[in-house]
Amino acid sequence: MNTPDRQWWIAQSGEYVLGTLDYADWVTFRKTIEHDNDARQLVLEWERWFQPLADSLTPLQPADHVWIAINKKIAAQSLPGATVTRLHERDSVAATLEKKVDRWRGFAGLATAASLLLASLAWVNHLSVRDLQAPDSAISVAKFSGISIIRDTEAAPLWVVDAAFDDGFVRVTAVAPPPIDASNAYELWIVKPDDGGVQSMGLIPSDIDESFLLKVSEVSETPIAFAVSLEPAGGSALDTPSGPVLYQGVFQNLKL
Amino acid sequence: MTEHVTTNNELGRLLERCVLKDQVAFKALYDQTSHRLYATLYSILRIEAIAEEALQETYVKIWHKAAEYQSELGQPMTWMTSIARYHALDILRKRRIREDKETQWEGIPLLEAVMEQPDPSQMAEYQDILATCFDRLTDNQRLCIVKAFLEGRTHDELSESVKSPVGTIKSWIRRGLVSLKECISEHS
Repeated sequence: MNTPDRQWWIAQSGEYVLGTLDYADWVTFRKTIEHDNDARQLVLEWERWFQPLADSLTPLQPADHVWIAINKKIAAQSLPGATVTRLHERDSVAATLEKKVDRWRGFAGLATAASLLLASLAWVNHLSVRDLQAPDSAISVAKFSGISIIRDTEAAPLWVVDAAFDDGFVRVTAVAPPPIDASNAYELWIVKPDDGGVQSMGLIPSDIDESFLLKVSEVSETPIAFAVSLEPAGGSALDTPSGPVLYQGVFQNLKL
Repeated sequence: MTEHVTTNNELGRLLERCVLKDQVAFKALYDQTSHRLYATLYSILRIEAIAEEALQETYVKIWHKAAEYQSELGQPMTWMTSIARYHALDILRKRRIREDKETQWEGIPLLEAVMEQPDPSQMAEYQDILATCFDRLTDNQRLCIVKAFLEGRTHDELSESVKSPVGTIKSWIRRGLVSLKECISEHS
């Protein structure tokens, strides 16, 4: 704290704790407190003084599956070689998924004639799932059996999918999906294990903060991932993606 | 206050056990604190699924960093809350995921009520001093600081919310912080 203006340090450290510094100032100050004990002391004081604000919030009980997920993450990180695996996990999984989905799309290309017949059925299927909103009561009693965070290439979350397969629905929350025009739609797919193909879950929201439930038909196998393709407004007329598969997220099975 | 101290001692003991990779202690720590950290994360992130994911990451960090906790530098709950808040703020910084939804703010038990009518049985260690010192701030200073802390609001978001220029918001916050610090020093 070499500057003579102590008030500046008090305010800067306070804003660091509040989170109101802009990114550049925040990074600078974070580096500062690594080697400046006085500045670090101010930060600790602010954290201590503001703690009653956090304490005053009404407690919220997290869902049971959160604890299960925490255990799974810690266990996965404890495996031999887990660090190396985690560093490359997203890219390798993404590449594998892209290959798998590409293969199914290629197969779908050969089945054009059949797809014409299937198109009407697929459309009916989309109509049946797209607008289904499970009642709120369904959420309160549902047991989410898994979660998938669908991310962009920079690993930023776009959608979160909470799966309650046993209860027959998934909850899709749009965190920050890239905007698309009205002639297109995002379609959600589950990726089955052992090259078992994909299965449409229906069209998903593209408005930030929107969250809704999709009724799903029986899912016989636990998926390895969820994928999102860009489709025409009504969705893929095939039983595979007809547009590019843009995003994927590994499915975390939370069942013990 | 005695109960509060006991709780912190207990949490400190559980953290020490986590350093030894005691999973039973970790579960006890989670059971005693997750409802509070989840409330903190949800008040900032505002999306249940993201708050849950952030809670997972927070406890994974607590598990791995338990050895870094130093009791002489702060209470266990403060240390854990800071891990949670900074993680949530990181998420917000990387992507400003929210739209400004005033209606969502209504569900948060804003602190004015707590500050005006502190409940001694629920007061944390410094809450009474903080309440006294918050009373010295202007309404705008207090509102901006509280919303920034509890909801992760930026200057721009606060500016839009209270319909005042960004420069004014910055001034309110920084002057408010300096006033708070002076007041707290007087009462400590």
